[in-house]
Amino acid sequence: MEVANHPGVNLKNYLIGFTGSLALTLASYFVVANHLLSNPLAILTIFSFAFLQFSVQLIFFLHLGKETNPRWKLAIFLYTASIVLLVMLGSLWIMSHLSYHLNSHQINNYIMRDEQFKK
Amino acid sequence: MAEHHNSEKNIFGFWVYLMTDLIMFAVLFATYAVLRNQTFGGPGPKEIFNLPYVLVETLILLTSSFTVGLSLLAAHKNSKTQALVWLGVTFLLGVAFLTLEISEFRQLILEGHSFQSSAFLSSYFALVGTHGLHIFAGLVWMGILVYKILVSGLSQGSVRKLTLLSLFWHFLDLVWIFIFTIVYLMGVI
Repeated sequence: MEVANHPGVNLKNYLIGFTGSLALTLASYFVVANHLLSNPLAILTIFSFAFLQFSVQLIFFLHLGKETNPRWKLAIFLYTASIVLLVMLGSLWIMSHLSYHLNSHQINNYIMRDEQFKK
Repeated sequence: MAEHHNSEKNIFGFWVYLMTDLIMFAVLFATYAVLRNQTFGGPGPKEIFNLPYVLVETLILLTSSFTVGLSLLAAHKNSKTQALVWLGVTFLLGVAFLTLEISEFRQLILEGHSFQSSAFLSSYFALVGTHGLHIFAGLVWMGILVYKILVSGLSQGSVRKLTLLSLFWHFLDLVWIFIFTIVYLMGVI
């Protein structure tokens, strides 16, 4: 049964969302727990599964993209997603650049000096 | 018609709040990603996380995200009992999740790995703890809503609040996907 004012709220959608998310969660878990893949490939795989599950839940649980025009929810979501990417990638990029110039051993020494820790 | 229009505005406003909350979580994720190797001589993610335990937490939260949807569905079908039962199941699953998380935190602190031990642990407790606080707020909200539906039935107002609550609860599961992947799975790889 579909309710006119709430597109996407029906049993079929919830069932698809739930079984899809369940399968993806278990798949990433088994990849990591059983060491099925070597390092860079394993990270790539679990990230793809995470983004896939993110999309599944956005569509089937949060009903994104089911609204009628104008699609304000979708617009705000895409804008937020771009900020999230900027914050995440930007922070990682800046900080890895910083660690390149300053290794963590040095940082620890600075912290110990500033906080007057004794080793 | 005016009521429909209002409810749509309500949902949109709540959606904007969720998106700003997402930015806050993104900042906490970025902090964690940057600091996750700064263990200050202490143990790293590999040594302290228990993956099967976290899988159970994850499955509980995922199931509760499903059952809150079933509750909303029942409310749309105007079935008060079903809506209450599914909301009650969601509430219990939420309590189970939060209990597991708190005992995980307690265990870590008892073993001497508190948020004060290293930058890695500070960012870990900040990220996962903030998510836990949201779950707690959701549970309080759910409790109030169950009471309102029990007392005054499935009024238009309660169904609207249930719609917003279900969005909030799905959103928290959405954030958990990345906590599970970035913090726990990647920590153990």
